[in-house]
Amino acid sequence: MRLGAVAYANDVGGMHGFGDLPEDHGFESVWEAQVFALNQACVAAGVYTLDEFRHTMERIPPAQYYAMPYYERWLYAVERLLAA
Amino acid sequence: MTGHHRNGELQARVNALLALAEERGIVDREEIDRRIETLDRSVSPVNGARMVVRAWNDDGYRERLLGDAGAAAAELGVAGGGYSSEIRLHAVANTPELHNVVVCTLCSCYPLAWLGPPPAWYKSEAYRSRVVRDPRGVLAEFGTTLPDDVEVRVWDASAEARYLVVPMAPDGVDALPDDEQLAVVTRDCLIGVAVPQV
Repeated sequence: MRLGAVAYANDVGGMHGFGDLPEDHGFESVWEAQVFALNQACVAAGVYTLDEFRHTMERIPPAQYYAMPYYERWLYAVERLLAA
Repeated sequence: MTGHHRNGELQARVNALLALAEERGIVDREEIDRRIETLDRSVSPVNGARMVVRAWNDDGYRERLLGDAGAAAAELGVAGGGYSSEIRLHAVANTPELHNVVVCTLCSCYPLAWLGPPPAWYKSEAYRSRVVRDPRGVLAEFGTTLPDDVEVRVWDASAEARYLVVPMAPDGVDALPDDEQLAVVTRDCLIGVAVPQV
């Protein structure tokens, strides 16, 4: 359910104004692949669930969310879930 | 894009997390490296292409693929590992009347365990916001123009349900050797923004 304009920053289906599709690329830095693998390992080990991981990213305040590169959102979530 | 300084800062944060995870006995550096290597080596869109080509050439397999895609993947030795969760893979077939395309409007859910990480555009707000509103327009940007009488169905993936598009076999593909058949099924065909070209 969408309350007002943006309830959660990630809920963008149907919204206007996000511009053109970006160029394609894989992992751009070692840390991106590492945070990806670390998240996989944490979920596999039952430290937290994939839903908790998603939810943590979804609660990032909108301004911060859009300012973060994709894998920085992952890093943000893993930091919060592992430190908890 | 991320600058060098910023990149160093992010790497330092990841290093701290890796140390914490190791200290807590969750995962060591060797396993992290092993996971990255597996991802590089054996998890790729070729897995999905193999499933599609098999379905083109084997009606029994096609039926099993559309019935239980995870089991059909395992049948070809495609493990779908990585996360030990209950993610289910669903295969959705294109027909002369129906074209399927996949998105995750809320984040970037993708059949990653089978096909590897999604392309950058799949994760972008631009794609996620627009493909549900104007799928034909987005498909056209990928060079895919569908006749008006073909229905376009957009599947919104979730944590539990990941989708793989089974494109129609293009005319003349059966005359090609197996490896060339595989090559026509690109990653974009498996997402549904492209159709195989011979």
